[in-house]
Amino acid sequence: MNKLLEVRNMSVSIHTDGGVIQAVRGVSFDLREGETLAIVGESGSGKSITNKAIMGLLPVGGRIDSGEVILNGRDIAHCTEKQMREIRGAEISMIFQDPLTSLNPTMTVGKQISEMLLLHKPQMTKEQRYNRALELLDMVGIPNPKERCAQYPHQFSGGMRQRVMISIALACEPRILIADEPTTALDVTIQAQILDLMKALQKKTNTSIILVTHNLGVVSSVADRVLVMYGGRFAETGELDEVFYDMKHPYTQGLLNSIPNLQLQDQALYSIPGTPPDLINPPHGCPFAARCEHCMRVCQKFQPPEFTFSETHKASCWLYDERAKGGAQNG
Amino acid sequence: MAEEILKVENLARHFTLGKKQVLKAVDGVSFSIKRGETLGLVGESGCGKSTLGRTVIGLYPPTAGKITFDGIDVGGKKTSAQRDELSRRMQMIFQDPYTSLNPRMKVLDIIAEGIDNHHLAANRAERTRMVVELLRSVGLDEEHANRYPHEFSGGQRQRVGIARALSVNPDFIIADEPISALDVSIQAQVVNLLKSLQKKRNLTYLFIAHDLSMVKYISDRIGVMYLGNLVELADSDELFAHPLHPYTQALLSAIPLPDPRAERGRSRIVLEGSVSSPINLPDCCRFCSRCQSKGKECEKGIPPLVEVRPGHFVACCHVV
Amino acid sequence: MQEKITQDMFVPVRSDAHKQEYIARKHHSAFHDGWIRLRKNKAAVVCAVLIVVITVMSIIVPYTSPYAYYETDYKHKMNAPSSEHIFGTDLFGRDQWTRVWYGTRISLLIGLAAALINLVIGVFYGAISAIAGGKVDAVMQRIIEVLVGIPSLIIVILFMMVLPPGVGTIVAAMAVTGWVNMARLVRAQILKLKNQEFVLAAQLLGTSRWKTILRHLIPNTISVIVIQVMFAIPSAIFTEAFLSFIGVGLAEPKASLGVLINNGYKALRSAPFLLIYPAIAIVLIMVCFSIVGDGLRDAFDPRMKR
Repeated sequence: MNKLLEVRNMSVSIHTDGGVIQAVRGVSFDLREGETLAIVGESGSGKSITNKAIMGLLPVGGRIDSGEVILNGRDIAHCTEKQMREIRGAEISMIFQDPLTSLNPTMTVGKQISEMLLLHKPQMTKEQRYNRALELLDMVGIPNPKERCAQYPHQFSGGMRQRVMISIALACEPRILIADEPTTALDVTIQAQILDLMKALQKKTNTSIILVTHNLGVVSSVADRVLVMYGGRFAETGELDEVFYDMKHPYTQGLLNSIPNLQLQDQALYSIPGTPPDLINPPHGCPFAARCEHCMRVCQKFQPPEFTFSETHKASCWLYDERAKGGAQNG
Repeated sequence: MAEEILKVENLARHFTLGKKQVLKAVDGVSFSIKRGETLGLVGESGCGKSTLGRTVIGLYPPTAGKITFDGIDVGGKKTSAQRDELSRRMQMIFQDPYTSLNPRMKVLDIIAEGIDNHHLAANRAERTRMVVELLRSVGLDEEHANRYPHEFSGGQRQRVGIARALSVNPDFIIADEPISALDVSIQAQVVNLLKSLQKKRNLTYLFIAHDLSMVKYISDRIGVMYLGNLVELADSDELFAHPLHPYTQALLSAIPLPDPRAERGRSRIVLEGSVSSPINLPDCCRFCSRCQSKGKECEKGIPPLVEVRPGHFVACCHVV
Repeated sequence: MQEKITQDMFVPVRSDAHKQEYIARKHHSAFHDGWIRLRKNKAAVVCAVLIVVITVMSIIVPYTSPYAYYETDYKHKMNAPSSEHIFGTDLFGRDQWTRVWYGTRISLLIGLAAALINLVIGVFYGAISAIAGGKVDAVMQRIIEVLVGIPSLIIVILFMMVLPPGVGTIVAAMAVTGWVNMARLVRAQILKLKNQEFVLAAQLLGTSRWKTILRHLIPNTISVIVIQVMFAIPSAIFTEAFLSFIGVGLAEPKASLGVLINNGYKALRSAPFLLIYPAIAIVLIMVCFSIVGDGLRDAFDPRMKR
């Protein structure tokens, strides 16, 4: 399959008053056509910052220190703001966790969609834009698009707002959609609606999706491949089933074991002890070493290399080094 | 059978927003909790579960109904001794670990607040000793006592909040979405901690959350709320195995499981629309605007909570 | 420089529960964080130093100078700056160097006194209004609205005409309406805090009302109060200068910067130096306080915290 987007060895740091946060340290992955890649991790794992870096939307003080982001054979990691503006929305779109703050409260929903179209497709007439807006709202399952087009964001419920966000993001038919915790702020029943919608739209438009989330249930219901991040580094990547049923990294194992299973009764719940590392003074070795129950001396001193288990399945953990002698058993 | 420690009868809590605008956050809820058990309370945002928790503990006066905690009427007039007893025996763990600790106070003083108020320590040394003991019981350490809340991670702060609630040796704790703001790996830590503390100290919990899988893990019984009403109440295994209310069924089927194979073969009940506004509600079944098996009888008024099987209560016209 | 990876490193190590909860960052209070941020703000630090220097000079110079601020010398009227009189002399031959520093002292005193009175009245009024709530709050807010509705300058000028001129009168006149902003800010902040979970937690632990106010509400309002005071000082200094300039301020031979500017303005053509030096002093004071106030807000405003 075609690689749409390649991220190579990217490092991102954020300069704050408290010190330099090394948010992402040497992360690589690629995105193929028509697939959904889920990036999983807890807060501070660097999953959101990775995607903001791709979009050129880093917070104040943030910058890409090294690495490349290759889109259509072109490195966009060091593009100017003006060049990025042309890419954003047209080739890569993004939707956020909180749809209320990402919509303009003083503009009607229809106007916001046509603004996006005006920016990237100036050849369209006003009428064409209006019709396209109606078409988009209908596509994301908003009833009475004609009426809704003239309404303001506050007149929509949370789930409806997220639908509007998706329609704006898809207005110019981008090939990549980055969804940053798109359902975290929503209730479970609404979350199910939005996930269904995203799956249906992907089938229709063949858009590739990067889904950033901490909810493993959401991952297993929509993702094709998974990338697990911890402490700003890559931990494990693979096809959905490889990561869920043959997890290699102790963090992935711990994460999956710490979710209570609805089917099984009264099993003891595993929990990963400790607290995520402070990224202002990140540990030298594996970031997970301090919380890992298989921790070895080498883990505390050296960043583990990538070990390959299948064409798609890789993990970064010393347990799979030959010298660790079968210390690596699954969860 | 264990005695009932808390009994809530027909509790209502309304907020008047303006002329003729009444928000019925909690409307006619009844349940009871036995000593040593955990009652989970789930529902979507705006269903009134947090308001219910705060009314039960006495932060809001109830609009109607009665709350009885071990013989004391929480909502009514209390003597100062009764007020003292309530604040010692009933405590709360809050949702947001970032706003539930005073940023200007050291952890030592935060945890010691209850000890000071109830004069539980004879002198300063004993006060410090008690705080350190509480810190250890939630997996923290002596060296954390002199730090300020902003130096802790979310999970650690939440544990400080738990230590504060435990400082007065309560026997009933309301946990108001204590894990919603935490990361997955930390949620399990906090839930396990709550469970082990319950065993050690014989605590009774009212556990409010919107994450059903965690609620199932910690609760003995679960109540499901929808727009101010309790729509279903049953043992947690029973509720998950045989959900009877259409809303509970939809809610359970909407949870995505962390199991790709199961997810692929699953069919979901996807509810249309979203929760209607809790302001000026009509006098019919609250769920009827989204219910798939809605009929004429649903518009006749709010259905009462009926025991359909031993210990399994449902409020729906269709389930008899 | 790097250690080699050796076979013996592949041995499991016991995890240490203590280490897992270890907090790597150096231990300090939230106040300390703000202080670090403030120190990084070069302009604010320079201005803070300037304020200290100006304050110290205004205290020392009038005492150490060979001339008193009221000492006239008709032989040397309107002399240009020289080694004898650094800033020259005024219409009555008084040493302008001494008078500028003396005026600065009076201006600072008025600014500080006015700001402190605003602080005391404003904090109490705002806190009581927010904490009492309900009808009390409604009545107290209507009173504030009435006060805001009356142009404050008119009240101040009326006061100055009725009472004998002097520093006390000016301060009193400005205090009549000056506290309103402080009261509003404190009320807003406390209303916000009142519903925070840590205040509810205190209530549930049986903390008394007064203790809640003293331990939870006031300490979290202090940064807002300090910042407001930093902005109230220059505004009071400016109001005083304005009053003196239009002639309802202090009486001779007492001098504030406003009085000096007024006198200098009258002699602008013949002796521009009489206007320039006090004008520079007042501009410097105003700008410094504003920059320090901004710096404090950036450093201590809770919204900036991560």
